Amino acid sequence: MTCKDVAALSPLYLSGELDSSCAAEFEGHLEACANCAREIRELKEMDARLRGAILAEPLETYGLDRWVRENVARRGYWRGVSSAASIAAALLIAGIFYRVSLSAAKVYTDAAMDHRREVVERQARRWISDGAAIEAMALGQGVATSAIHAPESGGYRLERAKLCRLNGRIFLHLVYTDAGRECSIFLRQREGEPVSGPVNAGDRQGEHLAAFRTKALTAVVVTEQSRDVALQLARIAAREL
Amino acid sequence: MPHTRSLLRVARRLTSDPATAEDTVQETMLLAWRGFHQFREGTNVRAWLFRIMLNAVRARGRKSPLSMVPMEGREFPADSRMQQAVEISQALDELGVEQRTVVLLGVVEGFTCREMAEILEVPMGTVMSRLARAREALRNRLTPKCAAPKYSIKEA
Repeated sequence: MTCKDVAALSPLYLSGELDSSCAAEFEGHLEACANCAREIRELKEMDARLRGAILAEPLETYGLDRWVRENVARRGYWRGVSSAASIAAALLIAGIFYRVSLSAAKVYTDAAMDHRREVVERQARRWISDGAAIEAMALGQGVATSAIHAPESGGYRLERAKLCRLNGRIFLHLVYTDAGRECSIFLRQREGEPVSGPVNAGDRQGEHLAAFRTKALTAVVVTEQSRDVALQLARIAAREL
Repeated sequence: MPHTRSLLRVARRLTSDPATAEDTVQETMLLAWRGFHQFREGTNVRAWLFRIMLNAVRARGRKSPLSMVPMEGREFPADSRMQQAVEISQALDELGVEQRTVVLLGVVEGFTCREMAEILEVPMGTVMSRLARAREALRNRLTPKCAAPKYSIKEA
């Protein structure tokens, strides 16, 4: 076996698909060739790092279980399937159900879409702009009044607020202005999710997001200005919360 | 059999945003229910579900994903392991979609080249060359000082 053969067969070797005689020949070459041995060792190490990193990423399947129960089973798509196949399908789907906590990723997407529609495009919504009424609404959601006023220390002015749903959960949507530009902050009383260390930042089409959790609150900042503005507002809010 | 977890993990890397990924997995489960009579007993359920999902992904079209990444900073320190994971994640996202798909299926989800050929409906040689080139590209991205590829591998 040559070095070129080893390179060509490496995917099959790494996936354990080489038959025993071919695998023995492959490994025989590795013993004799330091370059190929190093090459394969590095690929194995990289595969392990990559697998570890991707499998360790938080993965939320919130809503999938409920969606299938409500939209697949209820509508009777299973009708007409033989009883044996129904049982097999039920077992298959039972394996598919896998509930974990709140889908943070979907919350971010919903927050970006709400900001786009309700703040940037100004679609008609029932906003509350009276300060006392906003504070009362916040307290009703378990959000302290100090939390809604936190961005004011950075020069942001609270303009209006309303309640909204992000991934099925109620958030307080607050709109602040700074030099005529509007930013959204979505706040919700934390319900057992872990307190995250760093702030998370990301972009979705024209929106820039920054999200963090404190002991009491989950917060998502959305602005169409820049990621830096989103991060700056998140840092100001996080300091005060 | 927590297939949802695997399906969602792959869908998130191949679709435009997390919401679309969830929608794609939901669509996959719906299609699996509706097409269960087509499932041949004795074949690989997991591979069958992935084949359905990748067809759904293709039908929806792919865009660049929304990725929320931890930021480093004085107020929000990120540890080195997290940073390394972010680098790996970004390197994977920078691959072309065909190479990213075989890495996700082969390296992360543990499918063999033969299974991937069935899922993707392409010759096995194509899977092997995509995987070899993807590994090389990832290695070059993650270790920039690494030498250029020693071998050139042609698409089958």
